[in-house]
Amino acid sequence: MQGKITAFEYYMFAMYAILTSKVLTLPCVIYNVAGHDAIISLIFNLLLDILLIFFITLLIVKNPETTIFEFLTKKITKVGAYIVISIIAIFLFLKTLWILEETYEFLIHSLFEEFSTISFFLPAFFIAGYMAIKGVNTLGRSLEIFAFFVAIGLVLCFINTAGIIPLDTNLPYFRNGIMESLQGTLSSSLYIGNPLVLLFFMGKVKIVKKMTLKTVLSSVVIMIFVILNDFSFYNLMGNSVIYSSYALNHISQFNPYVSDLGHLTWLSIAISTVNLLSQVSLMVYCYSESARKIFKLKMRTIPILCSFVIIYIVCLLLHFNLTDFEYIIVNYFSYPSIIIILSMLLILIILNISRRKKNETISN
Amino acid sequence: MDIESKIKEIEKEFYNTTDLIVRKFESSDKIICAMLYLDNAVDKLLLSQCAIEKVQRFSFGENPNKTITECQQNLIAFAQVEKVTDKQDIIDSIINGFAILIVNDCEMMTKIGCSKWVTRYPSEPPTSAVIQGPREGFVEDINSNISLIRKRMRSNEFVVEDMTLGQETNTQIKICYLHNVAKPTIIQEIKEKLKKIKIDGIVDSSYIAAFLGHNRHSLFKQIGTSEKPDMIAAKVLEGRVAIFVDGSPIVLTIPFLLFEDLQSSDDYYSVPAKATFLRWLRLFGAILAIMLPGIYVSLLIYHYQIIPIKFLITIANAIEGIPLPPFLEILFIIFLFEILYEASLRMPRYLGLALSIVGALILGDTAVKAGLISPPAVLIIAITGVMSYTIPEQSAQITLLRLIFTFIGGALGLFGITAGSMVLIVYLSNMNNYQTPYLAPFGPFIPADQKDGLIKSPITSQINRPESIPNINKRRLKDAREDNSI
Repeated sequence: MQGKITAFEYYMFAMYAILTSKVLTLPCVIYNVAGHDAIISLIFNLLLDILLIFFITLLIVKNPETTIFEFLTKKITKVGAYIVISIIAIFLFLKTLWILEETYEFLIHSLFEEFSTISFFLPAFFIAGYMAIKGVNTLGRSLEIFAFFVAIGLVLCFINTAGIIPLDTNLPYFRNGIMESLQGTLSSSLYIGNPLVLLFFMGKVKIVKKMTLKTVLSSVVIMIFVILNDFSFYNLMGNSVIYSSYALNHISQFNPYVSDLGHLTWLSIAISTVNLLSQVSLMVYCYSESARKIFKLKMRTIPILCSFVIIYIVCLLLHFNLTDFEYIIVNYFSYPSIIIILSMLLILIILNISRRKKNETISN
Repeated sequence: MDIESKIKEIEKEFYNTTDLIVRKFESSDKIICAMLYLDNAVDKLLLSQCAIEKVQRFSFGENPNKTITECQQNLIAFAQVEKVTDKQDIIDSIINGFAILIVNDCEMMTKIGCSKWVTRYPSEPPTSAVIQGPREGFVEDINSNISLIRKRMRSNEFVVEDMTLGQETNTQIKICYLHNVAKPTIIQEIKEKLKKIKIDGIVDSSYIAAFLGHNRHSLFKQIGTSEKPDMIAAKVLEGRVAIFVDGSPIVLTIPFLLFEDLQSSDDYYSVPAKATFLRWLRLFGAILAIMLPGIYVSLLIYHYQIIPIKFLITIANAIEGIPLPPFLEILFIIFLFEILYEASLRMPRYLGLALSIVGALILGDTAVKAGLISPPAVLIIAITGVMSYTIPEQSAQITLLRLIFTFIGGALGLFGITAGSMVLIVYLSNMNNYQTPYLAPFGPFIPADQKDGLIKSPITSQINRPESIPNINKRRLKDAREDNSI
């Protein structure tokens, strides 16, 4: 059916939402704040995402033919809907900016000695823009195919280290209580909330039986994989995590037994690039769709082009330096970001409960 | 109008072409008759024995307008004998290999179906040779092709519809489908698209394929093709529509999935495990054929640090002293390979064989010894050249993509290769033909269709028709348990 994605594609979208950066930069960022309890912070981080996925999917399943714009307009008036959608769109735009800069820095770090910004941003913008402009069907099918490569790559990277992981490097956990873990989660709040993209597929998913359960289960499977990969990274690297920037790179090469055969760095680079650019495409689609609705535009091309120009200018102003980005994000965006995520979670819970109560009243 | 005027008028319509034969004769009661036909388009011996000789012995009487019907019904011993009065109908009949009988003082004319076009006997198609399975292939004659497919589809649900296309060639087209399986909206869409074709001539089925595809500038083929009747029968059974074009041994099938080219007719006649292995092999072959030169170039230019050290030393020793940078070196060998391929195709067979040996052995060896190109680069191109024929139907696309990916690898390194692959997949995912996603059953992922996907299951487990191809009859295999319950 044109204009609707399949349930399987929806699960894949949820997978990307969980996966983005969580096996790449997040483990290193969290470790700087939470130290040995970084894995606990990461689990909190993932649980928040799973909660978001659960409530969003519940809402989508209950309203199979209503888009998020129609739904919010009905519930909180048109102005209210525009405000909520604008906040999410800006949030996703910031995430896009962050992920693109992160990917650029990652590629420089892993592959190139010198890499012109144009050589990265032009193809990245092209891929993200092309996918977003082509609509939900193309987006769904493409990300579904990429998901196979990403999943296979992740499994291979994990297998690469599975047999040699020391299990007690970071034990015991909670040496200084739970606060360090919570601070770790807070400092990395811009990494949470990716599942908000799923809201924009409300009314565009072919609903199947037990879809909420299936979505949550598939997300939990991905979550376990993320935890396993990051656990391997923390335990393999020990205290030297603070000197590393990209977890997956270390997992894929840190196996002395296969050093003669070459390592899997190429694989980690490929899957990380595909994963990050896929997530960027999803976000570009979502915020451009919001802009299209809010400004009543016929096509998504204009908001997409404008957003890309802004992204490039911001990156230029920050000298394409990830450390500067991190500094700004941790200092200025951590609190607004966690407030947005928690309020969205609250709104989603209220919307789900209010609907249930209304249904119960009608049935009585 | 007397017989002479009629003949002249028809001759005028054909601009006095010399291959329009007018054979005049008299019936037993001396009424002048004429048989008009195109030389080499009819079976002259049969026409003479079963029509002309019999009319010569027939007596039309005083009013031939009355007796001509008896002549048509009882005398002329051909399967297809019809009356004809319209001038355009007469012209169309003659060009389609009919003979026209004109009787003096008779208004009605008779068309006799006695066409005999030059054709060849069905043989194994060179493009799809099989180890097991039927070896029959389609020929250039449309009726022989329909006969080959009818032999396999002995069902009243199998429908053949006629159409004529091409203002100058008047090419006969036949649309075939299973009435109880193919989706009517798709059949309708195909017919509408065919009706819209206004072209001077259709010389081959590829002309029609170009009009039927939804993305006309696409690099990838959007219409399925086959030269084998068993393959066409199997595709029609899955709900596809087959289009036969007179003069072409290639039959078109719609809708088409990219994955179809990974399947071979051999897969269905051999052990499923072997078919699975071969499909994976073809897929990897195609991917490597497209990307290997690009990856090689990007590794040597940008990312030599991720090549294992022992391998890197070997390559470094091999490329030492080569005057060209890796990118130009690979491009040079690709062009050399393509030139040799093209030349060996066009040359007479005995020369082509010599050329391929000279090209592969002498030119390659000499270039390596002269230090112009390195052995790893020759090896890479030779491997990819062979691999591109694991999917012969897509070899042209693979060649072009290989070139594109070499450029991308040279310009942007591994990031470029990854980004290029993403763009390619997005582009393919965006393609939709006749309500069918081009990358089905992988994008969208259709679990039920994976039984005939990269993992081939036995035919006994393929209970339903593929969901990727829209159809109106899902079930193809009756479950044995159902029979027992009955």
